[in-house]
Amino acid sequence: MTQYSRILVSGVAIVIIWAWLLGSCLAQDTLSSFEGISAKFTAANIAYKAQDYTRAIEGYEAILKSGKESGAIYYNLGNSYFKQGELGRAILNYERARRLMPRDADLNFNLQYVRQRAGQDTVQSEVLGWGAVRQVRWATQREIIWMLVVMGGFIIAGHLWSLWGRWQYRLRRVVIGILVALWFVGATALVVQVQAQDNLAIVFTASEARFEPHPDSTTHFSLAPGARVHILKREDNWAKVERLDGRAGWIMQSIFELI
Amino acid sequence: MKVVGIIMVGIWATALSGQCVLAQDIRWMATVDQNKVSLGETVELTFTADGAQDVPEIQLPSIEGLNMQYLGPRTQISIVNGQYSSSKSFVYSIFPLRTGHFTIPPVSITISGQTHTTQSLTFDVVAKNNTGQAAPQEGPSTGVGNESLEDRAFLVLKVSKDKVYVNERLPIKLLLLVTNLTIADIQFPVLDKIGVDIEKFSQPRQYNEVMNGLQYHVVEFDGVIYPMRSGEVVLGPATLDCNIAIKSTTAYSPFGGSLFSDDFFNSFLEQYEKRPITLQSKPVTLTVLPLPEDGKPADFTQAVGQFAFNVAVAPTEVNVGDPMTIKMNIQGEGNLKAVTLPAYKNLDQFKTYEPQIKEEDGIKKLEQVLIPESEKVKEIAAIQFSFFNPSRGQYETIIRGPFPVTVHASTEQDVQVAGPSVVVIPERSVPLGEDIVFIKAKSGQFYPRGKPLYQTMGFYFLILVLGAGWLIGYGVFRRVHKLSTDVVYARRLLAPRQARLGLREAKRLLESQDRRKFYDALFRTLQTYLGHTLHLSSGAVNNEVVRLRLSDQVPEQVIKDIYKIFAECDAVRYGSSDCDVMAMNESYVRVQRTIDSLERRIK
Repeated sequence: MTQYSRILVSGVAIVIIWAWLLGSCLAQDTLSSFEGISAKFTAANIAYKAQDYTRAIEGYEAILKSGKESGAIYYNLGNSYFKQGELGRAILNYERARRLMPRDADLNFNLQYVRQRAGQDTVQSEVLGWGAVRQVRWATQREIIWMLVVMGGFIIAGHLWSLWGRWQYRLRRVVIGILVALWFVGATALVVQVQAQDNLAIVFTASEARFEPHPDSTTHFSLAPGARVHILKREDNWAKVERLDGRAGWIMQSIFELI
Repeated sequence: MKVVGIIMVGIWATALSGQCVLAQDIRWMATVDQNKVSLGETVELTFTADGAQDVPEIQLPSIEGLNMQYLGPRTQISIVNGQYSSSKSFVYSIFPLRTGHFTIPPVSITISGQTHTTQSLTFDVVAKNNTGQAAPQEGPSTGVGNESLEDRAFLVLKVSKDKVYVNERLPIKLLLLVTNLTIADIQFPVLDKIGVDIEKFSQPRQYNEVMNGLQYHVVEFDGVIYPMRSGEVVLGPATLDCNIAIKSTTAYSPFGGSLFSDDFFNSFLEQYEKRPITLQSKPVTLTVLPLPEDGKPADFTQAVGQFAFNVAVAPTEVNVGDPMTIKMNIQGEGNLKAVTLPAYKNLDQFKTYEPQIKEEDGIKKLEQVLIPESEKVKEIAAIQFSFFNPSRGQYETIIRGPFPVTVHASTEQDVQVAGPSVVVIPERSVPLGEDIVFIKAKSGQFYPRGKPLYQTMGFYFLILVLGAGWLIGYGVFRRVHKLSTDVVYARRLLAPRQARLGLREAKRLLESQDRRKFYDALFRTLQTYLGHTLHLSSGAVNNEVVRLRLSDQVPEQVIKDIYKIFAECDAVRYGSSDCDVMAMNESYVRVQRTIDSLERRIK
């Protein structure tokens, strides 16, 4: 076996090990086909179909309490809350589902519909410019992270390939430069999404934000069920929240949950 | 070091003994560096205690027309021919504020229980002409007592009129006039606020102006005041802090005079120092008139000035429960802080919210949300704003409205109210479906809840493997690249490997007792090894070259071993020399040992 053949074999071995590790991590990351969880999910779906929404909600919540989540659970939970007339909680769960399956057409339709029912579409239309860009979700955080890892692998492979293949310096610089630039675009998207979702909460009952953290304080603005707010700080039972149009006020901590 | 220590101890011992010996010979005196100066220059006043070190601080009385500043103490110690003498001085810088003849009174001090008093000192301050020279004098007192610093830098407070109404906007000007003087670090003026409300002074503008034949540099501060009570109101005095740059011909040093404090250098090096000064204007008395009671509207809220009042309602066509926004603004000349915008309260058939009021760019704005509670609402009532116009001396009222609106019956029961500034879209152009999409039958992929991917160990391990893979790949490439481009390096790397192969072959021949081939293999192995190691062709390896290249790297014994091996090999290969297995074994071991030794020593 020549020296180059040995190097080639070593390279292939490294790639195989990397692929194996990648697959292992993915498998660990996605805990599919849990028998008990699947059974609970099916039972909750049956309850939903029987229009027993309370039992359906209990079933979906039980799965979540076991430490596992999926987009479908949040979606079905949102549907169940909607059927019970709790629009705020429905929107909250649809938003949570959107973290995990942002491109799901059914989910986006339901979310838009429930928002309209809750009077939230007007507030959404107020968000313009950079704020609107931040709200666009085309991929989950996991997808972006994996994309960055794979791209990182491509950059490394490309670099080594360019070295072994004796590419011209200029060609190597262009190819690696493009790959690195793409990687940074992906990383920026990830940072933007993480920042946009940081401390983002949904108000699930209609309420009024006040100027001060006190029940007798003057009302500043109203929040409809399902209103999306950023939590700025917490104080006792109160939280200072910022509406998407930039207006800030104090609400009780018991009326919202983080997405 | 010892010598230096002895000298230092000697100096201090001499100093201390000298102090004791001369303690009784104390002189206390006061001096000025010059007895005639121009206005705008300083005089250095020095109190000196000769023959004393432990001198208490002195208190200098204030003298009208002189600004005195204590610069600090000054100590002088001298040893001449073993004679020790010391003195302590207190140095003051005197800045005359006017021309005239000044006297420094006698100053007493008590040292070691004895009281010493200085003589009184006099000096003259004369006016300076425009060329910067002291004015010529006909006699000792000519030019004295007819000019002060206030003639060169002063503040003037000006008001546009002296009769105003309460809360009326009154522009004022504060002028700093300076001539024949250098002013620096000018601060914003401060005006007494009793009875008036003052807006912050704007950034000053500067220009030159000729007054009474003198050219003045003018710094103008513009401001606005609002009288708060009627009657006689005294405005000012205004004060302004700044620094005057004054010429000082001496430089203070705590260790006495320096080379550059000599008069010779002073004539070349003019030194300037900054002296803080507070200028004060004369006050201005204003007659503040009360607002007339005749014709005062009921909704009047202390707005005085000339204002424009605008009101807009949007949208004017809504459903019951939908918000409408009233926007009002007031702008004009007057105290906007005192203006209260007329918000709607308890409007019939409307739910009203607290208005939001802000002031931007001289415009006071109000936004208020009204929500019609009935489709019978046809208009929003007129609203009015009253103010007092001081130029006309009468009250004026501006009425806006009523505003016709169309309110439809509500189409949905659960319409929610957003904040006051939210613009409501009444109807969606694309109607959505009437229900939600059904639930998902498949659970999809499950993920650990609340544990982001980047917080798992596996993820970091993967990143580590990626980085390690790149490092390994890059390292291998560098090595292969070096092997293919650096022949010396490649041959050096190849030498031990080929030597091992050669020795293995020789071992095999040793076991088969093929003497000639065995020594051939030994010779080739050592020759090839040396050729690779020393970067030579195999034919170029001989005893001379070996000694030449290795003598400074390996012990002589190794070189001798190499010679011996070559000799043994040549004897068997080309001669009839016969040798037994033991000799062959020894040769083998020698070659092995020699290569091992070379491998350890040659870089």
